[in-house]
Amino acid sequence: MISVKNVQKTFGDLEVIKGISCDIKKGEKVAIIGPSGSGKSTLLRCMNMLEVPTRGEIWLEDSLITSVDAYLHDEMIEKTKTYRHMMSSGNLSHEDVIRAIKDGNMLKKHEGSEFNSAKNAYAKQFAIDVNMARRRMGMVFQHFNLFNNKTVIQNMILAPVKLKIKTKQEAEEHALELLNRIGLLDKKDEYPSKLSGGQKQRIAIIRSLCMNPEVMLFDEPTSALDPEMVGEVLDLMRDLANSGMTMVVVTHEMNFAREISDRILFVDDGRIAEEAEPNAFFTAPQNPRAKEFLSKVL
Amino acid sequence: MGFFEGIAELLTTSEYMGSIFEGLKTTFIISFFAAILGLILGVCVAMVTIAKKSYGTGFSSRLKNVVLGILKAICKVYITVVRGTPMAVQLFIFAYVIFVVRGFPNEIKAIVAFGINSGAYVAENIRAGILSVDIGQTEAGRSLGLTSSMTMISIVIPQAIKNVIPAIGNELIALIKETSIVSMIGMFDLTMAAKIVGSGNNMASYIVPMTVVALFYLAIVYILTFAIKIIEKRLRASDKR
Ligand SMILES: Nc1ncnc2c1ncn2[C@@H]1O[C@H](COP(=O)(O)OP(=O)(O)OP(=O)(O)O)[C@@H](O)[C@H]1O
Ligand SMILES: [Mg+2]
Repeated sequence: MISVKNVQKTFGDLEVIKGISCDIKKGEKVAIIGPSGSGKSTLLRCMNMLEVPTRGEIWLEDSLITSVDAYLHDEMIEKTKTYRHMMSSGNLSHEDVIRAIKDGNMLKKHEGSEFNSAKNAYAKQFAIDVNMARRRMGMVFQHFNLFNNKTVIQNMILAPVKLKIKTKQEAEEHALELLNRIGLLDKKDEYPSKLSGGQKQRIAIIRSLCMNPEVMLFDEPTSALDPEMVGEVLDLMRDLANSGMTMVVVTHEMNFAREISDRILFVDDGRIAEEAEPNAFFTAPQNPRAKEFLSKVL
Repeated sequence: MGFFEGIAELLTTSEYMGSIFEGLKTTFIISFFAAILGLILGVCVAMVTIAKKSYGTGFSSRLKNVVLGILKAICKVYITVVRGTPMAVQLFIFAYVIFVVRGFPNEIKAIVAFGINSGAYVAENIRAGILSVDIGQTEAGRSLGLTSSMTMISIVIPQAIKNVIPAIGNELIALIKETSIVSMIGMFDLTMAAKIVGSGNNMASYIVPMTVVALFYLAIVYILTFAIKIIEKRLRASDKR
């Protein structure tokens, strides 16, 4: 469903994601956990381009969301002047040259027209507009981010109607049905400022569902909630998981991660330090940093 | 002659009142059109200053980035120059340097000068208002697949307006008061009218006409303040907060 290929992200001089690759399969529930500041949110936000990766590619099924990363495609490196120059200047092997160019980050200066047209052709074949990709990926934020100037129902129908995916009537029907399912039908005409945190977050979740997404990304959906409201949000997420939705969840709720996820990605210092099935991870973590982390949070 | 008799004389002499109303009309025309020009200019400049570069590598997004870069530089210079130099100097530059065409109407010179001046302040206010809207609002909109302009129009701008109205109102008030310097390029505005009415050929005393004109300015500012308060209240009411 989502493929992250060798993604790196720097903010100025700060290298936050130092090379991450992972695949999220259809229907899979993946929990991303790790210490604060390790880059979990940044990784999640790269998946729908709220942060643009500095290097690497993000794929949604067969569509490329990021711009083509020449360093991931050996055949494009072969088309550069640098490559030809290095090949001709000694008895280096093909792999050595490619690795040297990748490590040296030397392509930018040496893009020939042949290389550029190869890159453009590749982009043309696979690239998808980021807005189109985002329609297929729901995102839930720590601070809910309901639109303050819109009522609950307006929040929910805005995107499907504006993007002409549904008529206003269809969108409203769908929204009311979802509101009914979470028991908040009576709040449909309230403004977000009148709702509790738990209500806001549940509405934020079903607002995403109004777009019929194929995958849902959650960035610490319960971290900003009062303890007594965490349960209601986790219940809704559990229902969603049971309905077969593909989910990527950054969370500090270890029990929840263990319960619903098929796979745990433990992120530490901008890398995936451990990737494991949840029971194995929580009972016998392999990575020393993961051990340390779990001993602190459990 | 006492102060109050002076007031009575001014109010009952149609020649004096005629002058004052003629001046008022000029002040009004300059303020009104300059405010409109300033608002339009301010919105455009604010849009450029907050626009983000596109990250695509294709030719069209590179071209867009170059154009945007140039526009951003122009806007930065514009805001810096306008805010860093006195209004009177700007007015002289428009009147005696840029529009030195014989018979070119003074009104237009003044409107353009004040509009361009006001635009820089409005742009800064709008920019601040838009930046004061939580970035999470934009991110939520974009994550649903809305384009950046849809997000701006449906979500960010409606929330920014509430934050911006008071500042824009203040700018409007400042603009009206600033127009009192147009007599420096020989225009007959409200302030100039007071000067003429108070001159030796007429009342031969400035205290009465200046007081009356001051009250006129005060009344205009007061009415405007009141109107802005009402608009603000309306906007907040729709928020139900
Ligand atoms: N827009 C940004 N500009 C500069 N630095 C940033 C930006 N966003 C994140 N960072 C930095 O990147 C690092 C990783 O941030 P990130 O939010 O991804 O961590 P996290 O794992 O989600 O942490 P937490 O559990 O606290 O949410 C942090 O050091 C943070 O300060
Ligand atoms: Mg985070």
